[in-house]
Amino acid sequence: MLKVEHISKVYQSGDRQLQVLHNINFEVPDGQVCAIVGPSGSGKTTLLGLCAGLDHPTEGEISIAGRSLKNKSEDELAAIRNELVGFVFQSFQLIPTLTALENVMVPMELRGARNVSSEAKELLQKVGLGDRMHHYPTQLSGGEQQRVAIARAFINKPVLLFADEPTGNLDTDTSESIEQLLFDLNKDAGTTLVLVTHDLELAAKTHRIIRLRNGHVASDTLIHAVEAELA
Amino acid sequence: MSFNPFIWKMAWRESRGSLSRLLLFVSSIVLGVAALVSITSFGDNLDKAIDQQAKTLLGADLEIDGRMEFPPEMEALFDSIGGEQAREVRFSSMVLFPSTGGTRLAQIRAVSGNFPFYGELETSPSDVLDEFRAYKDKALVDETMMMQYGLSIGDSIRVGNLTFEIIAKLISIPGESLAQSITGPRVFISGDILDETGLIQRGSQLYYSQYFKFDDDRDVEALVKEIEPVLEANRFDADTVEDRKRSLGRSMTNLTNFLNLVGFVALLLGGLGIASSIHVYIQRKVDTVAVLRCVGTSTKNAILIYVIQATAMGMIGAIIGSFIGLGVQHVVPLILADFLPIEIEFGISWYAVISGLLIGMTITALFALQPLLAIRKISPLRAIRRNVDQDDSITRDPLRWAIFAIIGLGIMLTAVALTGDLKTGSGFFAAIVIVFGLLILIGTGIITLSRRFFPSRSSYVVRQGIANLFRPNNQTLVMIITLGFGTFLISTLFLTRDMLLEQIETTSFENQANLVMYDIQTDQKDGIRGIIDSYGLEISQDVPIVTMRMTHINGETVEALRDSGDVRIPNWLYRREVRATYREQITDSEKIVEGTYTSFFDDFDGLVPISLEVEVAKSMGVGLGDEFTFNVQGIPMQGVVTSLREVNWQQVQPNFIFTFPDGILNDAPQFHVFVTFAPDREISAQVQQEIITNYGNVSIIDLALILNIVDNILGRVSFVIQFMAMFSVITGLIVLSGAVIASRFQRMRESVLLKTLGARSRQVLRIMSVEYAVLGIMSALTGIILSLIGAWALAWFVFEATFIPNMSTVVFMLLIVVFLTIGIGHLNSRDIYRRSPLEVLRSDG
Repeated sequence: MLKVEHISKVYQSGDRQLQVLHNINFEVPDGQVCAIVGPSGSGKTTLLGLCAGLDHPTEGEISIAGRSLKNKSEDELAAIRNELVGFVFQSFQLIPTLTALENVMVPMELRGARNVSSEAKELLQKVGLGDRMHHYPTQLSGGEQQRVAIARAFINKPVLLFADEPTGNLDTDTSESIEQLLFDLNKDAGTTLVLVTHDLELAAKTHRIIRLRNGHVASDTLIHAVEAELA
Repeated sequence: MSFNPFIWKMAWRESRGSLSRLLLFVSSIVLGVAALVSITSFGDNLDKAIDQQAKTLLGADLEIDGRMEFPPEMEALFDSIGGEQAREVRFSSMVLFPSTGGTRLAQIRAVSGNFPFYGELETSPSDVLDEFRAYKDKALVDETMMMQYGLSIGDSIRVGNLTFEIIAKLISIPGESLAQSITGPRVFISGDILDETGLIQRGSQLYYSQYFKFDDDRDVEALVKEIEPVLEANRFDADTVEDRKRSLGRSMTNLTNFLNLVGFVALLLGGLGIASSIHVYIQRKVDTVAVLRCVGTSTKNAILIYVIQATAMGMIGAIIGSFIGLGVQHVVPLILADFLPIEIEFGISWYAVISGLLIGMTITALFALQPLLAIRKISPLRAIRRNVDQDDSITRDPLRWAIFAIIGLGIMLTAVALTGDLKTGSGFFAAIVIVFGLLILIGTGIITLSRRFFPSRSSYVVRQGIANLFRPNNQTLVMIITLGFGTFLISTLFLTRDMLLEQIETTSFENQANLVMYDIQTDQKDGIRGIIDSYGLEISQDVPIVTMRMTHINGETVEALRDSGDVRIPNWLYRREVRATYREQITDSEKIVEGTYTSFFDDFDGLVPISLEVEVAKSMGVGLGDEFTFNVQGIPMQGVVTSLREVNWQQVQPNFIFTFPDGILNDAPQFHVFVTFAPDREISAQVQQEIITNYGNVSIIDLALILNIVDNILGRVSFVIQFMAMFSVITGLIVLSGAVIASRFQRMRESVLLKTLGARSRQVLRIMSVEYAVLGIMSALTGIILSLIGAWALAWFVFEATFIPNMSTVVFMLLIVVFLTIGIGHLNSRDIYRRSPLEVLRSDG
């Protein structure tokens, strides 16, 4: 599903060059839930951005569902994201001027789909916000906003979901419920999930942990319980 | 524009939470559109009024006029033309008010017949015209003069040797504006007794008009063509209703075009305000755009969402502006009352409304484009990482330069459309580019100096206040330009007016002359000299004037030369008598630039050496060695140009185009001009009164009168321009309000942080006051510096005067702008600083 080949990323900072990622290689098969962990500055967010087509690597190639992201223009990448990818952000990233329902509908409306509201309502019901669909983000708590963001991430039935510290801005209780919701929905949808986190407890709930350190893959481990299940 | 429904839905949804902010931004263009619609609508209604009331403009179907008495050939022509006829003889003369002893130079209109045939002389009381025409000793006197001199109905007015009874105030004359009475208030008397006034003397400058009314449907234009040869031969001119319509239409068009351009400037300032506001608006939408890009919105669609918002807001602003403009158009005639010769009825001019809408929306779209381009640079990566670098450099973005070029072209085309003339529109565009370029230069210079010479030793309040002007995404330069431009306009007007008045006063003082007496006959000289001597005054100049007609140039008749165009003879020189003088040497106001001045010449058979004014020579295309023939009271005299003179026409004294050497004209029929200096108003009034009482044909110009007239005219003109310039000033204040409100969130956070750290409300308020005071000073200085440059340029290139700025005007403008800026800032920020931090954060989310 997600193929990362020889990925390197170098940033120009003034007259210095800063290499953030060094020759990263891995593949995430369909349906797998994979966590990318590492300390601050290890390159996790950079790697997430590259995998999602939000940025271009300095070297290497990334493919999603067999479609290479190499040499694609910004608009071509946007189209690929709309078609294949879903996002859950640490800071929720809801559009403040849209209601919960309207936020969820955005990815489908971008495709030109009509009559999306019933589907969006269904998803909001699923995430427990059936009675808050006409509220604006400022009227929702952090946990509720993240639920809306999760519903938005699943509306276009993505093949690949990226979650960047999805519980980073939430308290413990809320985090747990959000994590559960994310995993449940993901299982129902059969989506491949790539989770970036520094929370090892959360990472342990996934099928696989890729550990980054100083821009390198320090380890790539299948969690044994999952390994058995997959077997 | 794409019909992707998502874009339109997003544009609407996205604007819901920001409607009030967007509407405030758009208010920047409301006044500019209002100004354009009001002036264009007024102009449209004025054209209709001119068309409907065309005959009243002339008061007749045909007017034949000239600067000499109608000779027998012309009288015969009048007989042959037929129709109902009236005659008017017009000239300037002193009038005396026996009841008060006051004197004034007035415009005497001696009328015979039932003129005006169309329209009415508006008088108070109104039903006096029959009495006026029946009795020859009645006068109609300009209302303003009656007020000035405290006259009433029934009082007397002495014109020349005759005394008339004032039977009515003259309020308006069809086809003439009030402004025309400023230079000479009008006095109507009967033309039948004009000779008895004794004012028709040698040297009197009289203007003769014969008016015709036709009851048949004759083609007046064809008639004029038919009689043209006779008119030309006798040096008379014909004026028809169509001529007057065209002439008035041209003047009014020039006036409305000028006012439209001033209004257009307000719109351009509003455009700057929009660009600035949208820039700030987009900065707040960066995260939203990043998310949209993340979930799959293309760059084009992301830009289109906000283009739709900007265009919609532009349309709303233009509609509001149009409504206001239709209301303001009723005020325009009141502002222009002094310059309008007809009554105007108002209707809605759809042409004005539609053109205002289109221009308003175009300006909005053009100025919004530039900041909207920044959306291209918003990376979707920003959704997960805040510190993503955006390459916002203008120099590396060719599309932005293309947008600038489109904006420039749009402005130029709009200016051409408003003026209907490519040259004027292009000239205006060039002037705008220069002015705005200079404003940016001066504004940037002031900002740079403020940063370089930052008052680091000042108190925290002062330092923070000044530093606030340079906060990220500040709109300081835009505000300086918009406020500065309004300051520049108003300041230039005041400075120029002060300069012109100062010029007259200074010139007179240097010249030691403030009284000029003319139309003095030779046999009156001793008597008048005696009166002047009796008051202890000295006659600084005794100037003889000989009237003559120019008949030939280099052996060709002037008529032939007019037809051939070999020599460009100006109309005023062709149609009237030349007034020349003779003297041994040139005066202080003259300088020989070519040739040699001849002091004395008395060979009546030879070619008389004459001196010609250099600018007139250039305009005619003549020079040294060219020969002129004059008819001097029936005697031909041939002269040759032997010197060219530069004349300072601004000196308060008689100046001449042609001068002759002493000796040749001494015995010619002539009249005289005395120039003297009266040390105070009282003596000046007494001298004038005694001379007029004894010598009614003499006219006197005193400096106080000139100053009064010039001040009056300048005051009325500048009032009109100031009214239009106020649109620019108020737009500048609206832009300032918009900028303050746009930065509200930042200010709020700053205030919250300061209060959290222990600052009291008063301290926070003082910081804000310092910020706005400095902004006001910067804006005022920018505008004032540019206005000093502008006024100097006007003085040097246009008025040829010395420019000494009036510092009280400069200080006044500075203070006004600073106080207004502080006031606007306080008005829009007061709640942030009064409420508690938590309260503010909760209410504003």
